[in-house]
Amino acid sequence: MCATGPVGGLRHTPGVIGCRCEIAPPTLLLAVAEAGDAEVRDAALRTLLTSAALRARRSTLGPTLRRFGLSPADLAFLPAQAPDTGPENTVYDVAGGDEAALPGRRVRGTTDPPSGDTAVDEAFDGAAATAAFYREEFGRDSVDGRGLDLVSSVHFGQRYDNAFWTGDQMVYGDGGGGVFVAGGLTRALDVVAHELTHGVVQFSAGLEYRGQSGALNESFSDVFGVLVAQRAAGADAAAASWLVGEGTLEPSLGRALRSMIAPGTAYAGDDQPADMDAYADLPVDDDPRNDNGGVHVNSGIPNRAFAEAARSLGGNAWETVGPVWYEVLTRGRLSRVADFEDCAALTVAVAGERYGEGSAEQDAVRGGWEAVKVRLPVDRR
Amino acid sequence: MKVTVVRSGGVAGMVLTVEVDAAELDADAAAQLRGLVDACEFGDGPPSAIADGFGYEVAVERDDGTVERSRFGQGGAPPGAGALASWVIDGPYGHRRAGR
Repeated sequence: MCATGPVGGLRHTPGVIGCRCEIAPPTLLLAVAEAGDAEVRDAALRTLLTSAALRARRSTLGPTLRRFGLSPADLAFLPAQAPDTGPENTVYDVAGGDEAALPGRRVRGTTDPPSGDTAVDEAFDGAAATAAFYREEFGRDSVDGRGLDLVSSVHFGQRYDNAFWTGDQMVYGDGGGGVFVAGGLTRALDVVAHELTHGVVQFSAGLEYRGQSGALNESFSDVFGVLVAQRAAGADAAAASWLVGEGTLEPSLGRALRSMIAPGTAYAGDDQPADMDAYADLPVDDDPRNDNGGVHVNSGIPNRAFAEAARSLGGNAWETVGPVWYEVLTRGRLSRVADFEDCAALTVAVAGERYGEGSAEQDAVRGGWEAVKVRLPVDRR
Repeated sequence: MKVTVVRSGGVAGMVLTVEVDAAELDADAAAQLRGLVDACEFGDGPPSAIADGFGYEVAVERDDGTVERSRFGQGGAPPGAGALASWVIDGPYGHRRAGR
């Protein structure tokens, strides 16, 4: 039953979903959410978000979600956005502001012409190319598989040397702070796709960002980041450089952020191990040097497993090994706390299911993991 | 007084260490640094809640040998710690080193 008064409506949450009547202005609901106890807060938020989603697209909800420590994943109860139109692709200019200023001023929307601001237009094109990759290769409707709008903010901070996925949108600094060349972060399609794939991971396996599950989280983002770029460039597995973020670093530092085929060789000081013999057993603690247990360090191991498998098979990696990795990531079989051996076993199993037990594809996947010395289930052939 | 900032993570996954020694600064820069240190609260903040967010450690070694330290994630800096970290990392005075 749909209540008509604000307080009554908030206290009868189960009846709210699907109700299209207006029960309270959003400002009042926000005030109630902030002032109420947990039950009232949840009900008010649910009402507010449902109402907003019926009137608008979820891309407009980011600031409200962050205010309450939520993410788009908490909106799974809402209906998917219209599949016939696809996700909106919108870029904002945060003009040097920080997290509190996101998303910033709207500069370019889905049907708008190029803005003339290079960062805006590169962020727009990168998001579009990544969404097209997932839609055309895997039938995935945007980051969440349910048409989540693509929101990007550029010009974050001052000479900010990072790009990141907040949980509901992309954010790009301008670089030029000593690590990245100015403009490098939006220019590199694989970096854009890497960050958007963190969103795909969030909405699929949800790999915890620590230890080996965190390294797998990073690795899946590198894998699909380079696959988006390889497909856009028409580069097959033999022609591809298997570098992540090539040309984005200050030249004095090195040529790329990571090498998937030769981990540890991308820049001076790159300490990614190439196999389990050199695994970095870093603690999960608050020391930034330890990188949440080596999530950006040990990701080199599964990265190389993928690259070795793709190279041994030849052809377009997004059509050979890529679908195996995508299925493992998104079909509910990879746990949030999976380790390398779990992932290896699943990729071998999925390769067998897709291409046949003992197929060249399965042998290539097995060979990739053997190259990096990750233990596999016994091959009973 | 020496101030050392360690920043890790980000999409690069790189550990960057920048150290500033007040004894090497001109008077204006040294005064700026002391002001930022005085305004800094040295508790720890929450870790970054996002993939590829930065993690920070800010350590101040006083001339008497005492050390104060703050660790926090991107967006979670205690009052004053973010401004101090930015001044050290983004300014022209630090000795920079990449690597763990």
